[in-house]
Amino acid sequence: MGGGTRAGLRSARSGMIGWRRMGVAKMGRAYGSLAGSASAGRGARAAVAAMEGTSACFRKELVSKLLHLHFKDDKTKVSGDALLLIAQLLKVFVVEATVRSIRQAQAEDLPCVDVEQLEKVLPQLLLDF
Amino acid sequence: MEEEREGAEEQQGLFYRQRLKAAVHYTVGCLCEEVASDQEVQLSKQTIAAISEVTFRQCESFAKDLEMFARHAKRSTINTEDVKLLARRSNSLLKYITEKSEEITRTNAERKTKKKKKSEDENKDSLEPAEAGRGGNEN
Repeated sequence: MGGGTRAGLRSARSGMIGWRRMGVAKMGRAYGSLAGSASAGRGARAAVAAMEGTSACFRKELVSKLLHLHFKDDKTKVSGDALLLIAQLLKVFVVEATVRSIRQAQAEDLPCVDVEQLEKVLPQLLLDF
Repeated sequence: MEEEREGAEEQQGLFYRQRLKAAVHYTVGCLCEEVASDQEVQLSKQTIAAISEVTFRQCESFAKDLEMFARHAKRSTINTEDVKLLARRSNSLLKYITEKSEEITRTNAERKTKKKKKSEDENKDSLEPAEAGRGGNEN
């Protein structure tokens, strides 16, 4: 039990976003060049591959609706490029949450990632965003 | 009567929120499944639902911050600089978002030059058939 919680703290402390080393790097995506330059740089960074391997993304209209739901002023608008960037930001958020939870489960030697692992990584995740 | 209408409006608002949450849950689910299958681990449904809920709540924080940033700059439209400021908490995140932002501007510039080239080509094409037609008539 003690080892498990200690492992939890260890992996929860890292603050690097998107730069985790993953197993198989899926290339051949639109941002393939980015992954290439990242892995040429440093080994730890090769795992922008986690981002490159995923084809799902947040749609522009969904992001726009999500933002407008919380605006205080009706006149506030969002530029198209900003919408794309926010979609990317949300994607990084989700992928980071997933990857950190998986790492936590692997550190605790569990085959399945459950809510407990997410709860352990959530504080550091929210601090990083 | 007023209260009834307000109650109904509130209901509509809640339904709208539910639909948005469902849309977020779908996208989050797709992303999580891709990452999990890549890593060859199993992700429980509750975990995906929890991540989806956290993402939805984080959007509120993002939206309010972005609106404040734009207003602080005396603008009513949120632009990419505001989003970059939002990503300031972690160095690697800021770097990643800045790179994505440059990529987007590059794609926009490429699309513009492509559009310009295409319209130039179309102008050229509209001239040539006329000349070819004249050549044909002479023969």
